[in-house]
Amino acid sequence: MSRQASRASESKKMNSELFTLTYGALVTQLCKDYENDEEVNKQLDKMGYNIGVRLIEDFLARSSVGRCHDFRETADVIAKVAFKMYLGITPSVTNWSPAGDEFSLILESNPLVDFVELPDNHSGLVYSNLLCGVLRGALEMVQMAVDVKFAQDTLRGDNVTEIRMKFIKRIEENLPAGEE
Amino acid sequence: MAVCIAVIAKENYPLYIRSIPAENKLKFHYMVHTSLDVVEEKISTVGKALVDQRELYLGLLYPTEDYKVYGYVTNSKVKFVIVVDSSNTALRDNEIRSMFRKLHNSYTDVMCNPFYNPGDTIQSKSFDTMVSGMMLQAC
Amino acid sequence: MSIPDYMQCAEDHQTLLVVVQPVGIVPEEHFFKIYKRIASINQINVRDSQRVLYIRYRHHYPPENNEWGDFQTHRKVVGLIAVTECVQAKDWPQTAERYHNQKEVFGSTLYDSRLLVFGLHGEIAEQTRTDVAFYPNYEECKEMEKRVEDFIESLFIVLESKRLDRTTDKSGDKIPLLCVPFEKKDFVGLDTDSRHYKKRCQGRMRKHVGDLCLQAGMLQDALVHYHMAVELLRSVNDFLWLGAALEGLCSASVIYHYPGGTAGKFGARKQSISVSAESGKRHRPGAQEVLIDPGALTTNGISADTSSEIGRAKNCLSPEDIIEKYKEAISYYGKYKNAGVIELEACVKAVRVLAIQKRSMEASEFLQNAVYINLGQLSEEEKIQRYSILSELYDLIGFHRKSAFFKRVAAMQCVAPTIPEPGWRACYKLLLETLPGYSLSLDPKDFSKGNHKGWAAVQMRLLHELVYASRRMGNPGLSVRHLSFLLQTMLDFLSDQEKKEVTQSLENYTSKCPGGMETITLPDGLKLLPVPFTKLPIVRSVKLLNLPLGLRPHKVKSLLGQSLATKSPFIYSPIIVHNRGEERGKKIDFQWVQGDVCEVQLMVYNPMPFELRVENVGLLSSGVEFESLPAALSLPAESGLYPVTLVGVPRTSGNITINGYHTSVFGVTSDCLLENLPGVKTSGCTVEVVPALPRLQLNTSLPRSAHTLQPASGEEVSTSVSVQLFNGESQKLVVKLENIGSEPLETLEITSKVVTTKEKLFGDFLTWNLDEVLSQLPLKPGQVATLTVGIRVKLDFSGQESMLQDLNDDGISVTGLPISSPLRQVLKPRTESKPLNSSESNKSGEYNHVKALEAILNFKYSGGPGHVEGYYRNLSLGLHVDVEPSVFFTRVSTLPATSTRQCHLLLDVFNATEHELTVSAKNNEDLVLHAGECQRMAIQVNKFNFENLPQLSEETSNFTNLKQQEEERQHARGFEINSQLDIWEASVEGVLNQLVLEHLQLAPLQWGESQSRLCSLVAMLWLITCVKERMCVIVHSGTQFCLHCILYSYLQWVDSASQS
Repeated sequence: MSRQASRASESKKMNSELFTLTYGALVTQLCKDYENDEEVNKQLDKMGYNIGVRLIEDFLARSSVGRCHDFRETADVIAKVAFKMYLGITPSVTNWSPAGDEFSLILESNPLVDFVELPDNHSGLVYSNLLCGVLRGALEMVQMAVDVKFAQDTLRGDNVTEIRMKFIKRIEENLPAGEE
Repeated sequence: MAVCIAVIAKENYPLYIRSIPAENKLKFHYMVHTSLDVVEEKISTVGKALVDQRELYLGLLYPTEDYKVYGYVTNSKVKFVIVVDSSNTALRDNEIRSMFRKLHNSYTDVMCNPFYNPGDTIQSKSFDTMVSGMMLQAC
Repeated sequence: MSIPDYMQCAEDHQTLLVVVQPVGIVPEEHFFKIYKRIASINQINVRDSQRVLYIRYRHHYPPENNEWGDFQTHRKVVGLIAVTECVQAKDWPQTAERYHNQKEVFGSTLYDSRLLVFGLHGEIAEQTRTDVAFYPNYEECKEMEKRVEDFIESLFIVLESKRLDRTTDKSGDKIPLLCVPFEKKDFVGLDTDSRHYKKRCQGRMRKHVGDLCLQAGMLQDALVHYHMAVELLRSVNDFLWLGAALEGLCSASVIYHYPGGTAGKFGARKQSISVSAESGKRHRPGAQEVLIDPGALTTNGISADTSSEIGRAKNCLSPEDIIEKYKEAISYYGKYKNAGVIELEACVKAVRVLAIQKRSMEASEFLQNAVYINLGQLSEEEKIQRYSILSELYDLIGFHRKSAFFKRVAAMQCVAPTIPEPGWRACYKLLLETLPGYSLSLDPKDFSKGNHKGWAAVQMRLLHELVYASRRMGNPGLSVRHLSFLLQTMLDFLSDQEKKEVTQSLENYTSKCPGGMETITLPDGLKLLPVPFTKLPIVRSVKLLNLPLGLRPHKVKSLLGQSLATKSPFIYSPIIVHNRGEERGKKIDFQWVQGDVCEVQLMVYNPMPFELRVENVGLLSSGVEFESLPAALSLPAESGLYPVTLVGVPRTSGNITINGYHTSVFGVTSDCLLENLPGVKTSGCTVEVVPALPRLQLNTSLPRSAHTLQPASGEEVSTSVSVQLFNGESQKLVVKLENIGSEPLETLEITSKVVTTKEKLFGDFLTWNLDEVLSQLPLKPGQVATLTVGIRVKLDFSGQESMLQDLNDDGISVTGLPISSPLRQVLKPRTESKPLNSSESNKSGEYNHVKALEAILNFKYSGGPGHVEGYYRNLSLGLHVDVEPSVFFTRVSTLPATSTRQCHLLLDVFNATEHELTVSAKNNEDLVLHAGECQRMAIQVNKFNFENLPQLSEETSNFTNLKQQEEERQHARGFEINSQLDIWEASVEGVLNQLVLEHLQLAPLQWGESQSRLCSLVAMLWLITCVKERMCVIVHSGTQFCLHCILYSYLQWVDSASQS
């Protein structure tokens, strides 16, 4: 049995409360340690990035998704395959910019924020900012530099959670000299 | 429906107490406070009897002239108290039970909020909304 | 019957009620003494039987309750003991008359009565009367108890006869219908011959007989009779009496099951359990007389074996049944509005039984029922009594919160608006008793641990009530204490509006009675601990501050090293290091000085939504005698952290510990001890106070400096002065040393230290003569000594390397210029030759650059007791000198003179000031330089005189050796210059070293003589400049610069007069 095959077949189940509480504990601990929402957002993004750069390998192995032809296809893979696989939700892809380089992921529900209510003194906190980092990190590993941020968040009283993603550039493969 | 809903900590101090009408708040404070005597008594007798299947619902704690006070205790010894108007005879035991269950679920959600510190007073908006819903129903 | 007896309990059913009352005027104190003695005889073993009679004494009994005597015989007053005082025989008839009147009140029910007369000595004819006893006084009445016992026995005889009489009433005779007062009118005209009526009569009579049996100590008989009565009455639906019969059954069963009684500690029975159990279980002789007809029992449905088990406990109800029957009885009573009191009393009795059975839930149901029994119009006093007893009963069953609730209601009842004279004291006392029920302790320490967790709303209400009650009691001190407590402990729960209101009323109270730190002890012994306002303001940290730099004491390091280290023979001792993990106890590593103002900094904030005025804030300390100097502060609403410095003066030496602080807020003074404030950060609160030292103050002739000196080697300077001088200028600094302390200044040492390392400094920067000052020691407090310090600044006069470099850039070689163009007298500054150079401003800036020189003068002094202990102080005076550039010698070169013994030294002099100046050199013409001008100046100097060398230098031998090698020679040259000349000279020498000398050696003017080693030339010149425009500013009549130029290691001092 190859490792890849086993990855693709099994999808271990995890209790969602434990998952949510684990993430919650992480965020609140950061809040305690940094005492500054902006700094916490940054840390979350950084952590997410570190997850993303690793998770992409797992994702590609599991999903056997091939190369995307355009950003639209990438958006679909993220929404329909990646989110489904890791968070069990399928956000809708909307609000394409005319240039086709920017779109929104609309999350009807966000499993990270189950139970969460932001206290008044954390108005600047982007609770799920880890997701942005994950997306950024993962796409960077497939040569796409993107800017990801939360445009709307149910935690702040918006109706839906919206992640806005903007394509910045293709990262040229900087192969060391002599490789090609 | 309910005129007062309270959540009492294991150590018997209020985590949450809300009542309508608001102007007679203190009366309900007294009412819920004294009802704890009964709750404690019930818990201790249940403990003595070593009932395997713990019934969380404690039933009617005591009736007063105008109100009926019901109790519910979680296995973590957090107590819920619901006061209903005595005139509301339509309210059956089952409905009270389901109210408590709802309350318990909502309380669990509050506990799961990573920003809530166990033992603090409950300031959750969603809990508040849920309680308001129970108070407004058929009121 | 309208007055319930809340103290009643089930076993009271077996008692005989005896009223003891004074007749005429009997001093209360005496009456109660007698009453107590009588009441002690509450049970009597009846002669010749094992039966026990129980007596219940009352000194007051409402006659209307007596009317219910047939319903329950224990309510019937069967005995009267009158107590009277009669001193004169002639008063006797009147007394006797009163006694008879008294008897009339309970006449219908009395079995017997007695009169106890105090004061007469038996001169009355009637002393033979059995119902009257005479005692000379209240003390001499030894046989009184005996008399009471006899009296009780007589009561027993009547009781027994009545019992027998009623028991033997056979169905043949017409049985009278017993009834309660309110029934009487209902039975008028009733058919007395009906079977129904007869059954009712029978049932009621059975029940009555049961009562009598119970009273007569025949429990088993009573049970049997009650059972029969229940059957009879049930069949005719005579509910009230059925209830009574059931209650009788319960009472008898309770007496059987709980021989210790149900009244709790108040009414605990004296008898031993064994006696009672025995009396209950034994078949006693008296019972035989009342053997019930077995046939009657069976027909009435009592189980068949009952007949054979007569006298056994069989008829007795089980503990569970008792409660069932009580419930039933109460439900029957509940049908009759007029039987409210009976119902209420039954509830109370049942609760007491349940309390013993530890069935709190059911007890609470009975109590709940009791709460709603309507007794019609109750007097306020009855209401208070009712609520109090409810509270007590709830407490009995462990419902402390409910108990507190009713106690509070009772307390409120004491001061109900309808009461003409509100009982604030009683109210207050009751309120205090509710505190445990609301888990409220009045010790503020219980609230200092973390967040307050409790029923804040109800607790706050209670505290408000305590405040109000104590005020109405006329004890504002208590009000202040309670209100302070409220404010301190409930602060987090008060709304902004409430905070305002509470503080306002607190201020009102304290205007009459200021709050303090004393413990208030209430009459009942409760102690109200003081409430320090540790939250007004909230203190976050306490930091002891070191003394200002100049006042810090230093320990003279003993030669033997026996300083602090000698306390332990070990270098490292774990015991000292870890002596306590506590931060608070930690000793701080600096010292305070006796007699000097010491500071402690608190970081505070105001949690109130308004400005907080804190008065009389001071320090609390222990150890050393400490004079705290209180301050007042005003903190803005909800301020952030705010530093507050508290000061005080230690009056003795030793160790001092800052324990806390005191404040006065809203008229309440508080002593806040740090040990009770876990939230306060501190880095140690104990500090050593060293003995007093003198204190020196410096006044200088120079203005104070705004400059802060560079902190070199961690040294800080308390004061510093500054002066601006031209390079080469000298000035005098007059320092006045004043002893402003209270101890004589005995020793003084002065040292100086130059802290600027960036600039090369030549010569003695600071000079002084200490002897002048030392001769004035010891300097007594208030005395002044003067010290003059000479300041001389000599920085590098040479043009900077860049300048020289610059010249090279101009294409003029260093070697070539002086030689090839000696005629070029004026060397134009580069600015003129290359005006377009962008870096021009920078270049000229280098000449205008003001250089700073900094130095510290240390005054180490000591005196007084501190000196004896080996302490001294160190006062530093910082000196900041801005050195403005004066002249620069941008180039140096030489030219042979006409005489072979002489040569010309050519100097390019640049005026870097903004003023015109004159440069004079010995034997040469003055050179006038305009601002920014550079000119060449030629000075004729003598050539090195080889013969002079030995007398000039001690290093001659070395020197001659060194001639061999160039390197070594240079080294020696440097050494010689540094050791013998002003340092400044070395600077020009440096220029010479680098550039000129080498060239000189190469140049033809390396006047060789015969030996190659004759290569030195010394030129000495004086340059005197006058800065014309600044004459008045500078202290001296003229500013003098000294410039020594050396070419090689030959020196010659030439005196020069200063020029004005």
